[in-house]
Amino acid sequence: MLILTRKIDESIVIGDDIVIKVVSVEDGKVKLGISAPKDTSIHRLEVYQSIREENREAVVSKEISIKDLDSMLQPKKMNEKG
Amino acid sequence: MKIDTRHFGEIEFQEKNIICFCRGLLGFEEFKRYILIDNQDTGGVFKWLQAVDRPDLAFIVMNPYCIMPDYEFDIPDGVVEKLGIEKPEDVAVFTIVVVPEDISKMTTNLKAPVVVNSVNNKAEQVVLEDDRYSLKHPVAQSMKDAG
Repeated sequence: MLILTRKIDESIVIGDDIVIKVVSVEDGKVKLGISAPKDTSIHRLEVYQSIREENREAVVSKEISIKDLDSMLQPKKMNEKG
Repeated sequence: MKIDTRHFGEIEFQEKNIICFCRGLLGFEEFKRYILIDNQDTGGVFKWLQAVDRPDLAFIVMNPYCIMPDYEFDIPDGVVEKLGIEKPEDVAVFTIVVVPEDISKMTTNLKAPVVVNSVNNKAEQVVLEDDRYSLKHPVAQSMKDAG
């Protein structure tokens, strides 16, 4: 892993088109400004990881009947839309 | 086109119905093609999302508006562009469901909905930076609350 030291208002560039700037540093928190192409997805790592985990957990590994799931929704079933 | 699946055996569908996730689903990046399987005799809230290229990869997905009519989020510009979305009414949204042993405790991931452009069937799982929505939103409970 590359470690760089930057001061407030200094930046790093990744590849040709991603620039990350240190906006502020306060109370052990670093605020970053990120410029990247629109199709680059940027997420907090822990959010990203938690969604991967959630997807893995969602893989269906046993018999599931959609009818059984529907029965959990009975009270409002008539209200569905879309 | 015919494929083998773990949950449904051999199924047949038209290629135009394949939903293409250009980035795959998070955690399953290598599988990009899915098919939505709808059981005719059910309420239409839940569907199966079956991977075309892996027989044992299937998810339950749902229409989130059935449990949260005011669910809303902005689709990032990059996603609008990538999926070629032209009109809001072309967008279909579903969320992935985790079904535990006790199905009354099933949850759905409102934090990372799947957005589909129904015109070209391109899709992406969008990660929302929105604290209102949870990764594990209870499905059965919120139905009672909504009533």
